[in-house]
Amino acid sequence: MTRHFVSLAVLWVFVTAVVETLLFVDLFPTVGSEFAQESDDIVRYLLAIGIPVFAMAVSVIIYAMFQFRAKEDTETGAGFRGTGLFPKAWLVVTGGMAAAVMIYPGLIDLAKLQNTNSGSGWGEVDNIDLEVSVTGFRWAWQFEYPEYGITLLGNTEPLVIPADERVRFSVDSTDVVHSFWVPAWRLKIDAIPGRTTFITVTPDKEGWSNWKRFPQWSDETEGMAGESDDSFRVQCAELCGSDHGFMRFDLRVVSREEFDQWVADKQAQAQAKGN
Amino acid sequence: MRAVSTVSSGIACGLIGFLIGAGLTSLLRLAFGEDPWSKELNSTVGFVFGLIGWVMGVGLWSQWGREWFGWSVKPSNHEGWERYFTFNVDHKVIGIQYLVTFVIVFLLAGFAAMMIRAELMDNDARVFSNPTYNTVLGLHGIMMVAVAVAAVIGGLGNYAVPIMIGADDMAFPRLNALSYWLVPPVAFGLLATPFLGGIETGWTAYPPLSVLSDSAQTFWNLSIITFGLSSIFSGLNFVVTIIFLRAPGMTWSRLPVFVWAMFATAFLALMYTQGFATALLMVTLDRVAGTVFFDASRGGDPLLYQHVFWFYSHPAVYIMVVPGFGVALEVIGHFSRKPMFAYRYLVGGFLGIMGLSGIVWAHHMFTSGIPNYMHGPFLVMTEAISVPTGLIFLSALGTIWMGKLVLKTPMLFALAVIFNFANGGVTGIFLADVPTDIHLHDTYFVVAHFHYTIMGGEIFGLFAGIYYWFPKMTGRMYNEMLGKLHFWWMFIGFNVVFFTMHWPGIKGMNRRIPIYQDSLEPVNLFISISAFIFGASFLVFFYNMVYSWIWGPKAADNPWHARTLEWQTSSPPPLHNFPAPPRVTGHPYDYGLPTPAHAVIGVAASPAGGGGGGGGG
Repeated sequence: MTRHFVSLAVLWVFVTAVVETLLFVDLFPTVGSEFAQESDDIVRYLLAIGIPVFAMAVSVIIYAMFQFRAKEDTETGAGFRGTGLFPKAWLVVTGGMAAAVMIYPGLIDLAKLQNTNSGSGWGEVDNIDLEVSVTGFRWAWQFEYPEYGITLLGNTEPLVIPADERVRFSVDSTDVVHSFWVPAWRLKIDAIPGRTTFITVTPDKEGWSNWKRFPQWSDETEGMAGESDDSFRVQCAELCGSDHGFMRFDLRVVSREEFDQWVADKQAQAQAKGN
Repeated sequence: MRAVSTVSSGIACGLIGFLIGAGLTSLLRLAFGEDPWSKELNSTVGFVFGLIGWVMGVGLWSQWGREWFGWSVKPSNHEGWERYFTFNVDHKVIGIQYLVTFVIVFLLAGFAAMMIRAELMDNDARVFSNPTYNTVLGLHGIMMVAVAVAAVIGGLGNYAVPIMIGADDMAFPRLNALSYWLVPPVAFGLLATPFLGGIETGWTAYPPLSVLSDSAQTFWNLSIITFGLSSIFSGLNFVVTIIFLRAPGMTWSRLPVFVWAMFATAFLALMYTQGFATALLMVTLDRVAGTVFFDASRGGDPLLYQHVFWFYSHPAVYIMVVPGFGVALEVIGHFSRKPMFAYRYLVGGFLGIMGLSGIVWAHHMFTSGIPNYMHGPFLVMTEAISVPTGLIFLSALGTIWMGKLVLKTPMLFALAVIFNFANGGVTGIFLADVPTDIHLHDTYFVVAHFHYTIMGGEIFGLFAGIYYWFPKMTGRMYNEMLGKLHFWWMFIGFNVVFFTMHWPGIKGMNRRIPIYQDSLEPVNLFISISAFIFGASFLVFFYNMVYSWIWGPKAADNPWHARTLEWQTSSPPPLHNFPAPPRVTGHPYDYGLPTPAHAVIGVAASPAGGGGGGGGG
């Protein structure tokens, strides 16, 4: 019996070590906000503690398949029923593990997410640097910057956001349920007709995508920093009918100076049209 | 020719019913000065009357309804292949009807999965138009949900549970037959949707889209409500059967674990299925009758649907996976040749899952804009489910430890259930944790996770059960070599496809889309090709089943030397299962212990004689 447990322990350590190499794989999209870094860290942490649990079950199965094989169909194994202390200990250990995961990362990070209002939900947030109203409809987004009197449609131009500033998106829908998702920020919130939901985010990395390839932008993007990165996109993440898969729009996170320039250009354009 | 007359009179009465329902509606509309034909309303009323016509036509009337008026009823036909195509009350016939029906539905839904992978294989080349693609993925989803809900409980449960508890049939045999005969209209209704305008909402049918959608949504809703009715009938039947029809001596602590799992499952089906039916009924009323449950502009609330829907559909994942665990643990118990480890804790695990499953539904809605205060409790309760699930692992791993494992096909599938669910359980934590779920929700990470739990957990269990009970059901043995080939092909294919699928999910590929970011093209090509290879494994299964059922070698009554009751009678069992009433005298899994046999059949037999291989000694 002791021999079996020692061998199993060796196998378990080995399987764990092999599977833990997943931690070194390139897993995540570009990190575009502070919250994205936190979210990735939680994923890594859960992976690190989850793999030994998975490896435990797998090791017992592999070990038993090789070591406890019947030679004849009718022979019988050890006669214990597992009525002793072991199941009680198991219950305590698994219960403790579940409680540990509930507390950290579960409730602690949830509290952080909600209290700092860096996440999504219903919370009203103070100290907002920029407010953007997002309205979903089949199959595009409309973005409105009330402060600057700018309104734009996702299918004609990209959403432009300044980096390192606290931005609140208030999200709404005029027809069916959509979901506003920016993979680089690791945040999404559903757009529900009849109510307004929020995401608050502080993007800390500049980046852009040009999936739509609008001709008038090709010259612009040539001068832009970095390469096109499809993690910087606004994607609908709730099935909303026929063109759901194409409800995907470009996002540019730029410096404050570039943002101001963009705002000035937009306002000048609007003025020119008005006149 | 009873098979032909059953099916044809069902179809004829169904058509007549449809015409009566649709016609009455037209007359009423005409009387009120409306346009006599309204697609939604006429077809809804027509469907309800047609459904009644169909079940009456296939035998509900001749074998049950006549009795309500004091007239004589026709007996069931118990001979030959034709009984499988009639309104038959024998639970063994109904079990096989369910099993064959749902294996066919499974293969069709699997074909739809291949179509989805064909679309995703190449990001630039489009295979389907957008509406067709949505219909294909919606049908794949709902048909697989139907298979997962009904194949094990309706097929294996119906066949094995009454025999395993020593009963001669289910508690309500005619209700049981009705449960089955409600299924063909459901299958027909779902398969007809592509020709009636398709569906665009996926299997979840979230409003307002499902209300606004100009598609076959109403027809789809009615089919699913019908399926829910069948599920509730069969849940009720199992609960009553297991409580009241156990053989003398079959105490709750001697109940085989598969029966315990069926009990927990049936209870969930009975308690929660109306949630799904209610949600879809409200959508139907919004579409047909002008109610505004989900219309925000007129006082309704779209989120209401999600609560009611997940109030069923989360317990439903346990309606799917608990039977898978039940089969896996049953097989592990017999094929480890050793007493079941921590039996009482295992039962506690099933009941704990049953208890917790109803209070975790909002973890599907962490990104839906539910109030912040709901996140914490649902996070905690969702992660609490890992404790009863851990007890199932305790029992499985403890039973194989120091056993004498007989690694035949059913056992390989049963061990794969434990392997796959260990993976699916761990990935579940990422989705229960709100900060990570906000990113992972609605991505391929979720798709990989639920395929690991439902397909890896339950469908592998379904195959374990099919191979395990095949000799009992057919009296013939399947081909062991082909069985093992099927297992390894399916197991490796499944893991390659779905393990890989987590990665594009984290990278930001969302569900239910025909195009994705270009950087994920190589991995999607790899998944698609692996999926086609994986899909081909079922051809081996199909061939093995059909060939062995017709030409396989005759099977012994107890080829596995198992102790439970179904193996103590002939293969296949006689009409009422046992030649004489069985009496239960011991625990079902006491392999190698000097305790009494699990059961003896007939009072005259000696207690040590009837227990089967491995027992008693």
